[in-house]
Amino acid sequence: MRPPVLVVGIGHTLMSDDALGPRVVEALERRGGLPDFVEVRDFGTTASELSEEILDREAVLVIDALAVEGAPGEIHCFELAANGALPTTRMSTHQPDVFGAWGLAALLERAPRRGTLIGAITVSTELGTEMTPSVREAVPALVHTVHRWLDEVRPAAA
Amino acid sequence: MPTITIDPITRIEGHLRIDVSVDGGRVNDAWASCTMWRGIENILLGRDAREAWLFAQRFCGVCTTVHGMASVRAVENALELEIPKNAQYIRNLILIAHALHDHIVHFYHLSALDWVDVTQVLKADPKKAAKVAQSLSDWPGNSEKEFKLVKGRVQRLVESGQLGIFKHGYWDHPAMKLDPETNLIATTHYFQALDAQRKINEVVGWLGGKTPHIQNLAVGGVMNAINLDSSAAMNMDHFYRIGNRLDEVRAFVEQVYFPDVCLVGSAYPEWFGIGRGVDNYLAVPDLPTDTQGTQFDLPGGTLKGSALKAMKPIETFHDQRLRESVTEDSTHAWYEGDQPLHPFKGETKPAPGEWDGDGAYTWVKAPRFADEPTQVGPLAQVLVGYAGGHALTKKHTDAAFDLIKTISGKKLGIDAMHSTMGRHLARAIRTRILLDLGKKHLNALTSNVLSGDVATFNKPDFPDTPIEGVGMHEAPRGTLTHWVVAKSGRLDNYQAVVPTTWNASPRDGKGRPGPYEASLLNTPVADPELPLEVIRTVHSFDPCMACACHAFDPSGKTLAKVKVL
Repeated sequence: MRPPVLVVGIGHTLMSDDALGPRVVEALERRGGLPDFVEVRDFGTTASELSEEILDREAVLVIDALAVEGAPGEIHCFELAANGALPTTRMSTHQPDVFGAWGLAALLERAPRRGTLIGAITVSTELGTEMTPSVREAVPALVHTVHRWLDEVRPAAA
Repeated sequence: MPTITIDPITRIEGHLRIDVSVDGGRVNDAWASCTMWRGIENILLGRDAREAWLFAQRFCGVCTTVHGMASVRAVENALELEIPKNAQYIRNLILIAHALHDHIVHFYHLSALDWVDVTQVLKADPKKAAKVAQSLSDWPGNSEKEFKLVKGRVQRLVESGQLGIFKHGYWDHPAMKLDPETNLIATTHYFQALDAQRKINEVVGWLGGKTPHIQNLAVGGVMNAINLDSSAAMNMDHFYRIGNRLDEVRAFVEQVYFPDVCLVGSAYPEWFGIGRGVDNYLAVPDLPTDTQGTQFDLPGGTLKGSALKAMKPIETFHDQRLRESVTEDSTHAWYEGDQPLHPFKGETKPAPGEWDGDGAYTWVKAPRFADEPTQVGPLAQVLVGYAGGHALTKKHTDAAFDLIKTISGKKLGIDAMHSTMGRHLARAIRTRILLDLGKKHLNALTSNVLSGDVATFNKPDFPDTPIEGVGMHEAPRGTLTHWVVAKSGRLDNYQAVVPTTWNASPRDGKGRPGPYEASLLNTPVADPELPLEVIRTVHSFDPCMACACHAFDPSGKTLAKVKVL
């Protein structure tokens, strides 16, 4: 059986701050102590696999580089509408993938009960293997936020 | 000058702009333009050749596996390193599972909506749809109940006034010709495909450690430990699970995907005569069965024009003709230099500019094989296999032609494959070939392990002298080659010539268009405001610009803009 809760990091690890999602996933795996009910995955920039993977889960958390108004490295958190209604503003740098996958799951009545998007505001998505300092410094706080979110979804899942 | 600009083409990876000029309801000129700069190879220079694949497989978010594979093969080719048989089989099984996933995703999620009008589902009779679908296969998901359920879902979506994931479709377009029941069947299978996709993708994860971005590759083999007596290593239980998954996905492909492509093809017979374009083809051999890369289960070769008898095989990973025949020309691309360069000498120096149909207009270079524009992809592979008498290719191509004759009464010949619909059919044929070979390679791996051979890795040894190698892989979108120059184990040059570069190629120094551009000539366009027909042909190639031209829009402009002039 697949774990009922999915945490995915999305991003391109060769495009500086866009690597945020995968880097948070690495940090989560390094820190350890993840409960059995969660599967943590680095999805790179794959769209189609997200559509398949969120179906029938209880809760899904997407970690992504953000393109919203605010200061570089600032952490934001959004709840995804469970009815599949797509927000009209651009937030994630990979928005069509996340929201398209969610819309499809909702149409099939197989969307997770809870969906959350968290991330930090990017500075640069130019070619490069290093994140900028303000985004890199957001990683520990994001790891902490993921653990808090897991505590919140635990009763239903565990 | 162009009269229609489609920017971006959606339901693909990355950013592609197509400009066409239309006269008398037909396309009379076309330009394919990638609007993002490609320079990702530069990130590899100076790095350890053994870790190049880890970066290379991040070139693209969709075909991660294929770049990792081409990269290790390039370094192994430079070192003339043999690979243990188990490693070849494990790699082959990953490549097969990845390609099965990719082809199913392409038909349903990236291109079906070019042919299927979801809004017509409301007019469909679920009972009639079940009768049609059940005449084609025994798939359990073809019940009247299932079709009723899907019709209800679409109805609620339409009544809500928000089409959600379907809001960008070409609904009620005059070029949409499926009857309501076929639309309902295809829409239902569009949803069911998701489960088949997940099932086959899990095989990639089981063998590769994770997916996307497999972890088990190494220059010299794979890092999978095989021990039949250990639950921590790869054992019979793994082989059994993989076999089961291949069987489950085989059921979906044989009973759903393959019949659907034949059904849609039968409803659009004219599309077997549209979209031919460049009819020079290239496919490389793949699924090696020996340690040296000289024997294969998928044949490679080149074709010039439609003369199948003149097919020239590419028989090994060491083929000199392939090694010497590839050049890239940047006359019409935003790069410095105007002379064709061999990939070992390739340069990636950007020279940005404005779109200029007579000058430079894309970030994609123009690859040429023996100086000719060349098409790659499942169609190339099927034609090369058919020309060379490859038994599995012949078997499944004939099965497709027979099914189309049963549905439509029309018997297709191999020449019909040089077309927009032919590219879809070739992908479905290739999927069935790969399923047969998946079973074969799993059995070969199991037998080899049972005979006592558990080796998976040969250690690479780098000389101080410069070495050059080419790694080839027949990826889901076609021939992929990585070209590596290394010294003392460090990378001096690295070039990836990817399938979409071949197909989305701009004009070359001699003014000859690339495959997308040539395939669009004479395409009918019923409504210039809604150029669905152009999109059909472009999607039939399965564009994936993310690796053809990488990274970012250097001007910083928003690219998500649809402009129809």
